[in-house]
Amino acid sequence: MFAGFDVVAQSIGQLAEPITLALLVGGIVLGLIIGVLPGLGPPIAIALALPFTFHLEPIAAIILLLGIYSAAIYGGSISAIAVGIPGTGAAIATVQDGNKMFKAGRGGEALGLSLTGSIIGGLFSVICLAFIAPILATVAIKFGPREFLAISVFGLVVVVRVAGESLSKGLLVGGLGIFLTTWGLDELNGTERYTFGSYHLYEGIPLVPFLVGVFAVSEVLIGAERALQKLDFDQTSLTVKLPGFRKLMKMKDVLFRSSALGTVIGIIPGEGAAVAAFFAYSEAKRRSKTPEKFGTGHEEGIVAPETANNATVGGALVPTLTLGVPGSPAAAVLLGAFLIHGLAPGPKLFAERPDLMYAIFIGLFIINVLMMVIGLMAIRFAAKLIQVPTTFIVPTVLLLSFVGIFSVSNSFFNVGVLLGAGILGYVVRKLGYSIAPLSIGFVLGPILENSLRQSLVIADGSVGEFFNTPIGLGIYAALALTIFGGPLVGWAKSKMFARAEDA
Amino acid sequence: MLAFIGLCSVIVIGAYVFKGYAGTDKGTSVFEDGGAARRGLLVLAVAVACYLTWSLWSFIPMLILIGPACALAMGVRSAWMYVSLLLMSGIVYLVFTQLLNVQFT
Repeated sequence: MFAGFDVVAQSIGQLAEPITLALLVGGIVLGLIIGVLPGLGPPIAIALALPFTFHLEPIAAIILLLGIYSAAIYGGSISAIAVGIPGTGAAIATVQDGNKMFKAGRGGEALGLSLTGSIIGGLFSVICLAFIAPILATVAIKFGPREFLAISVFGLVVVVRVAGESLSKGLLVGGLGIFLTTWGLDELNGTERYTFGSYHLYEGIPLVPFLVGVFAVSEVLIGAERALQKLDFDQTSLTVKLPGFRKLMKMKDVLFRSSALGTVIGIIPGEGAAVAAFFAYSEAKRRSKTPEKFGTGHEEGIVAPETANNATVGGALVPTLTLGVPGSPAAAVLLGAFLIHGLAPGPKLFAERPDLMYAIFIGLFIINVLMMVIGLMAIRFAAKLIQVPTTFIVPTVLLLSFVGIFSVSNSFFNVGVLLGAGILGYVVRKLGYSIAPLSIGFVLGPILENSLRQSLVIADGSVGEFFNTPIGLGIYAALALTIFGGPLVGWAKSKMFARAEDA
Repeated sequence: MLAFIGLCSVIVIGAYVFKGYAGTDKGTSVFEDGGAARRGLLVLAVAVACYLTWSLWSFIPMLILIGPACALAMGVRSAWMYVSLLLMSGIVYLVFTQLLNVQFT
């Protein structure tokens, strides 16, 4: 579904406006800064920047947030390499080899590898996004309630499975997220549900304050606990050394595989970046001729996770833009930004605002290219931000969350929701649950409820009607494969090993 | 029933703040140590107090309170940190009121 060169030219024209370009660069710098600070990941970075986008044109606002999203994922690797504390969850897999290389005096090489991997992964996923998203949108425009129900169920089950060790815990908080979306006036028959007599709750719990509370406020409280911890930071090897062409060609398989893995995992709703990084790391180790080198400061141990985690950005935007189903927690906050600007992500957005879609594709491409330049120039300064004390970050983020949410909605009730959601997120995390299913459940809840109720009307009492749709059936088949595929392969392998041992 | 649950929660939170753990088994604590529990829960109390300050009085008292109160809750002893946090609050106020034209009530 190509909208035509005139639309592309229009998008480039909008991106070339000085204010948009300045925001694009500003977004990358801001994302880098927030990504470097331990604990503050992409969802928080996007959430904190939201109030500043309120007065901007939609394209400029979304480009700023995308710059922050991409750079924050990459920024996490800087603190992972320099001090062994991942700035974001996505950089956890980078710690093992990155920090070992840094301690061995090869910090510049490690930073160069993570930067190059991030750029390659990011560019790969943008190209995939530009090709897949329009095609998926043309298919998705034919989606009815049963297909959206299947997608919501798929998204929820997958996020529950990948978030945390316990399936039951994931299900519980995912269900809690869905339950909270039932508050407010019933869209179909206008019944009041859990409004407690407050007119503020007629439209339900607001999305953006809830997500900012769950991510930012809960992180602030967790950060406060370890506020007095001292960091061991050696600044001697912070000059970035980019890998040469020959070295990159040597790692081309790892780069390609990690990019593809990251993009695919990004498309599937869940904890995209962190899961993709771990998956790519273990896959690179499994296929390596020298797996024993992993964990000792091996180059591929940095390139694989860093390529994969940045590749999830484009991947996560595929379901977000085409179906309105976020591919990651950061994409869920981004979805809130779209709604604030009066845009409803989904298949119709491609037809209604093709200029915005192409601006996103081209903008993301430019962001990744510029990230290389800005990364090279700013890495040394950005790394020093690791020394900013948590005792300063905690009150700053708390205050910015308060005033940011108030300025977006001009509602004091929303500040209360922010605080309530923050406490909920804190309790959930303290009890060993993951907040990803909670946030994705909260975003998918309305889609799930509406599509289920509409499907029930269509089905007219017949269970078979739910599956009487080829696309829906395909999605359920993919879901069954996701759930049973792993155990089945494991079972088959154990049988094969048992037979081999018997023989 | 809700009041009883609330009372129990207050007792448990109090135990975490003052003792660093709740109950008899130290191994079941959800916090790393007593200090971490104190810092986390006191900052949570500060966040709620700031919200109430904003709702009962106005924005400015909350703005002045939030930085130093959080620092105090985390056990910060450096005077520079308190000054820096007050400066940060001032900058945030100026950015939002002058640059973004937000009117705080």
